Amino acid sequence: MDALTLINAIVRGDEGCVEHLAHVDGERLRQLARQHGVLPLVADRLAGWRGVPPAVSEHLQAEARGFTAVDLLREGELRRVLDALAAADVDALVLKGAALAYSHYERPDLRPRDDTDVLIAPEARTAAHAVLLGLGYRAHDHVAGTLVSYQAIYEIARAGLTRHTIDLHWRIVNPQVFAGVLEFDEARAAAVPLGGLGRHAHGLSGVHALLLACVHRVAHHRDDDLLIWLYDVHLIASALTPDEWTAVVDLARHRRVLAICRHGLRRAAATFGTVVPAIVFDDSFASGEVREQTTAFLRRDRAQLATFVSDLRALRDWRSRGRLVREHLFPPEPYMRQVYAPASRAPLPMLYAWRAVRGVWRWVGRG
Amino acid sequence: MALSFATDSIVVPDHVVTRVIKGTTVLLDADTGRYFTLDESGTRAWAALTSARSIQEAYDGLLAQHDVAPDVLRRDLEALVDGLAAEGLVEIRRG
Repeated sequence: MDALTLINAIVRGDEGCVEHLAHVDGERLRQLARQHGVLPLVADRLAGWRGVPPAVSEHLQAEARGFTAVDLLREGELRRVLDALAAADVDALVLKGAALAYSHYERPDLRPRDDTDVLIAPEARTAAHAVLLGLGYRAHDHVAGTLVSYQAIYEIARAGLTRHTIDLHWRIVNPQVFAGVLEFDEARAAAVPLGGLGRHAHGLSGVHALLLACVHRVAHHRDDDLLIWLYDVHLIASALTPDEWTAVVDLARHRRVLAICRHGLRRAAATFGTVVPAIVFDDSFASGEVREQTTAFLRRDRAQLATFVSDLRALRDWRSRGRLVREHLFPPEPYMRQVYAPASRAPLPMLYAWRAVRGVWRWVGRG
Repeated sequence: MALSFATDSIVVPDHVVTRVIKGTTVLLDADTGRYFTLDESGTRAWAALTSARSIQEAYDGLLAQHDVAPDVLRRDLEALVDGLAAEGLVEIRRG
């Protein structure tokens, strides 16, 4: 049994796979588990099983404790951020891993993440930005505009080490074809409390969380089969009621992401044995086959240029398309200086030209 | 200064946060980012120390609940408290 298959089996809870641990490279196992975001889960499972080689277990447990420490640190920071946003009347929802860690995982440290995704209403951007800066966060320079991106990254550090990163979103995913999949007000109306993060912490409902879990890995990550993302889908799906499944199917069909959701659920089922009700795949109530433009994002070899073309097609008028082109071609100067000329004072037009040349190669490349 | 079991107690500073996982405790000093782990017996001692009004009370409770020689428990508890205090994970409140 290869290391990745073994990791799958461990996360699934298949204790019978323990015998294979003696034949796998422990360092390789840890590396893969780390890479797929499931090291704490693997460590947690093995801690309760018999027959686990001590060397394998000890290294995993030691590393898992590090994850716990990081999680404790971030938990305190996130509470501080959510409390400050609430004090400034900025309504916010915690998304993805940071939310699922508290809503669906047995312990939050079992769901590692590099940052905390927070969703706000578009009109709250300025207020949220001020709150984060006031707390000591620094905004990353990025390709900014009204159409090119719907997120901004903020970081807080101490003693030269990053302690917490907030990925602030005002739309759940960036590609234009997914606009309207889930708006803030709709998400907020159905939001659920996240008990471990204080009274100002809310996350997506199970229905919305499943939609996002399926859409996110396709819209932003080329259908990447990162195990922790598939496990997210598995946990969310496993907790849904029959009524919620009906709501998932209705919403996904209405928002033209049903094929993407079906695909994500199939991947979770194949990897973790997720039980998916027949209603998800039943088209007998659909009024004819509707081709969903979002399925184009299921191609793993999709070039970035294809996303750009998709964005142009999804926008409704030529003025918006022109704005998108300008925002791609001419990002703000601080970003340009940081990325293309951190140690020089090269003229800005030269940096834009260099960006255009580099961009052609990057955008046309596949995968 | 030696510990006075009868009158001393411990206080956990606000910047120290903990999580218990399967009988072990991870303690994080959020100010420094350093973390420490207590094994199962250390976790039991930590739970007793942080809920008792004095170190003596924690000692008495642990002695009653576990099969351990009194002098061994006393020595281990002293070492634990001294070690935690040295790392800034607890403050000793003198009675």
